[in-house]
Order: sequence, then structure tokens, then C-alpha cells
Amino acid sequence: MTMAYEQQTRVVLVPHWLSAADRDALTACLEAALLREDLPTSTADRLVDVLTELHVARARDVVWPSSAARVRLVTGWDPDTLPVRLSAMELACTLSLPELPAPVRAALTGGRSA
Amino acid sequence: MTGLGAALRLLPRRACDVDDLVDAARELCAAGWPGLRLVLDEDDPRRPTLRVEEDERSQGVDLLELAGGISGGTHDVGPAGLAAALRRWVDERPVTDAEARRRGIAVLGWSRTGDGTLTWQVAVRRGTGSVTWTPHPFTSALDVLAVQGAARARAADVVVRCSAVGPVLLLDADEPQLATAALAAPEQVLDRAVEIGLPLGAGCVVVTPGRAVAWAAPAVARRLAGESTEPCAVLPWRAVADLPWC
Repeated sequence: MTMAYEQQTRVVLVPHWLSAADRDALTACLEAALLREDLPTSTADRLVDVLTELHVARARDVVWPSSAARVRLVTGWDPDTLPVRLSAMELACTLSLPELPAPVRAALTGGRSA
Repeated sequence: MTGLGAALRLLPRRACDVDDLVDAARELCAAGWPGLRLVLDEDDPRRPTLRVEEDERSQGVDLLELAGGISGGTHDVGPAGLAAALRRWVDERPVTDAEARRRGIAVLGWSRTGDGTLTWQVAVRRGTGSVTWTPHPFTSALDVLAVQGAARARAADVVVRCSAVGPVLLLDADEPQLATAALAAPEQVLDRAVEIGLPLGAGCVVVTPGRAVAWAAPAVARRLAGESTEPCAVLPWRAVADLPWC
């Protein structure tokens, strides 16, 4: 699985392989964080992009299932493990959330993402 | 797959015996196929040929070459497997003008020029999948237009599942090739999207022929397609109707 290059913004998106449980926990955490009034607008925008990516990752797996399936076959990861592709800024904003559950933080910084 | 299964795949596969394939072809010709003329040509014993003829179309296959394809694959090379392989080949025969007029469905496919652009094509469902119609050299332009018009009207009636994944609308059909048929009547899809709660009037479609179609706001569609490892086209939904026919 290679890193991809987003033509419009010149931003590299890196895949982070997250299980369904990790993605659900991340979604809940992002939704809670977006309700905070003290959240800077720029951070909120990036978090909304991460929420969008969580949906897009699922859609990508429906439209083009073979690529991720090959990786799962080789690695033995569970069928619900998907590559969630984030820019460095999106990842940084996500990791800056103090309420981010430890397993999700670990999944984004180590484990399958290392 | 288990470790043993992976190892077994590396073992040499049983080769397909051409004589067995000729026997299967002989049986297929004897059994016949409604509406088709099947001829087994054994004049040159080293090059037995099976030919299928239907209306203005005709296609032949060198059974030696077909046997090579069967040996190289993971097919069953027993009598039943060979008969199935021959039926599959017959099933993929060219589409006649009459069949295209009667059953053709408009779908999107890659242009035959290989320039990565999409074109509308007339596809006909067969037992093992869809086959694309190519107008016969002697088919009149008016007849071609009539076939294309009928195929577009028929495409609007294809049952396509609409499902929302966050901001993305996915269109999928039982036969993957037919998922793009829904784009022949995009207003129907838009109405369905509004019912689901996705206003996509300014959206773009992400199309890979033979795959589910994704429909989303332009920025989301670009994000989705930008990460694809397979070729795909992203275009505004209003531009789809103006794509040329192949």
C-alpha cells in the first residue's frame, strides 16, 4: 500500500489501518470534540475532514475492494480493517485531542500504522 | 486461505487434453443451442476449430488455444468442466444487432482507443456476465441510433441499489457491469438521494466500469478517487449524459 498524493492541495495522505472498533471510537471522539466551543476553527475543519475520510474509507472499500483485501490477506488482519488516509495536519489535529481513546491513539501512532 | 491451500496452489496443474475438449465440442454441437449454429471443423486434425454463427455474426475458436487457456487457469479439466468452459465461450459470443435492439442496456465503459475516457456502450446480459455490442459494419446509422436509444431507455429500468455511506451515495447492481446504467437516468438517482437525505445536485460521480458508482460532493469525490489504486473517472453528473457512444 503506497502513500498517495492529493493533486489539489499537494498534501500527502498516509494510510492508517483501523479496525471497525477503532473507527467507531474515533468517530465518537471527533463528534464529541466538534461540540466543544473552545475548539479552534482551523482544527475543527481538519477534524471534519477526518470524519469525512472515515466515511470515504468505507466507500472506497466498497467500490475498489481488491486492494485492501490483498493487504488483509497477506497480513492476516480482520476483514473490518480499512486504510484511513490522513494528511499530517489531520493526524496532528486528531492526536491533539486529549479525549482520544488510548487504543485509537496507539493504532494511529504505532501498530499497523508504524 | 490456509498454509496448505497456498502451498497446493503452487503444484503443477493438470493440463487440459485437446482430445477431451474436441469430444466436449462434438457433444455441444450435437446437443445444439437455440438460435445458434455450432460447427466443429476437424478438417485439419492439428487445428480443430469450433465456430458459432448467429444472424450476421460469426466467431471461431482454435480449440488448441482454448485448451491452453483452460490449462493455465484454475478450471476443472474433467468432462463437466470442459463442457462448462465451452458453454462459457459460446455465452461470450458477439451480440447481434437484433439482440442488442431487443435486450441492450446502456452502461459506461472505457473507450476502446485506450485514452482513459468513458463512453456509453450497449451491453447485453448473458448467463456468465455482460457482453458489449459493436455495430456491424453494414448496420445503418439510423439502426445504431435506435439501438442506443432503446438501450438508454432500458437502462433507466435496471434495479440499482442506492446506499449512503456518510456523504457518499453508492450505486450498486447485482451484475456489477450494470451499476453505471443508473447514470442513464440521473434524475431518478437524485430523487432517491434526496429521500435518503443526501442533496447531491452539485455532485460528481466516480466511475470505474464494472464497479459500484460513487456520487458525492466534488471535494469528497476527489478525495475518494485520489486514493484509488484502480483507474477511475471523476466527472460532474451533468456531464455523464453527454459522453459519446463507443
